Amino acid sequence: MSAIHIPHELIEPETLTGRDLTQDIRFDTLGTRQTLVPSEPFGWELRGRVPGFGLVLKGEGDLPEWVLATVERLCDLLWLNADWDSYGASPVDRLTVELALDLLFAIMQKTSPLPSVVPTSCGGVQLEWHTAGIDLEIEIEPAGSIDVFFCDQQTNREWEGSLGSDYSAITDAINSLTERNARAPLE
Amino acid sequence: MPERSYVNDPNIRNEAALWRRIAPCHLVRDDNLGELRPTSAAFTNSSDGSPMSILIADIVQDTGRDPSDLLKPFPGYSLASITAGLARDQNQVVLRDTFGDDPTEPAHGYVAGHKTKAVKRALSRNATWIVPPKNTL
Repeated sequence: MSAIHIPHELIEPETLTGRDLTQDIRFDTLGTRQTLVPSEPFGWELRGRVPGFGLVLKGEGDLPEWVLATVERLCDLLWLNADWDSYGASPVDRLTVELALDLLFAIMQKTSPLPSVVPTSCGGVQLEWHTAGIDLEIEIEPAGSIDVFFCDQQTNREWEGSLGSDYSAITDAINSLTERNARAPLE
Repeated sequence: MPERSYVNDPNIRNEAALWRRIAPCHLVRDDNLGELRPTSAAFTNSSDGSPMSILIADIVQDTGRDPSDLLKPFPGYSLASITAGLARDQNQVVLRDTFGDDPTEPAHGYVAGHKTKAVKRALSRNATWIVPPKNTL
């Protein structure tokens, strides 16, 4: 494997307050693949390795319920080889995973339900939720475009479109999903 | 390479079943439907711009093969089915591979057309399992 220049960012402790989840990501050239685990002293710290670089996420307060499984799943996608779908699909793009993480930390609440995370054939990532009468799909492509589909069976509201820098529409969708999921009776 | 024209084949009936392999990473739990189903991302055109590949079930069966035979080279995969009529309702055309893109597979065909998210969702939500996934999520 040829040498890769990995940008480094100094991680500062982040403050988690409700939806105000922010992150800095520092990339190190680590050794063999590691499992993501929570650790001190910042409140929570996740470390893992994806092809060619390492991933470190840190935050204060309690680890949001959705973070560990979702970050693990996103990192798992980066290990897929070309043609992972048997129809010539491209490997998942690292920058797309970064964008997916940025987006999730911008829109998710601490108790938001876990998304399904799937790769797309051109190397992108799709985040999707199908619960509480809501269908939400967010497709992030390697070029950075974000396409969204939303359907609420209870209100009969449905919309589809491309997302710019304003995440308010999907933030509202996640808020609805989170509130309704919290009210759903336990089975 | 000259641009191709993908023309609907009327000899493929609307009732005809079209099969598509589903990779393990393309399964999602849909609590609204109460089932494990393919993601909409599984019903898309190829990354090189060519249309969505499918297998025409009638031809597979005419060649004496079982659906599970199709997945032997693809361990862990499942097989989903949509109808040609469903695809056409979504403004897609359905045709056999007359270009020789897969000369080893006589049942190879295409569902061609622009696939919006709504189109991909319609195909995924109405797909049925021919060879269902072995493990639940």
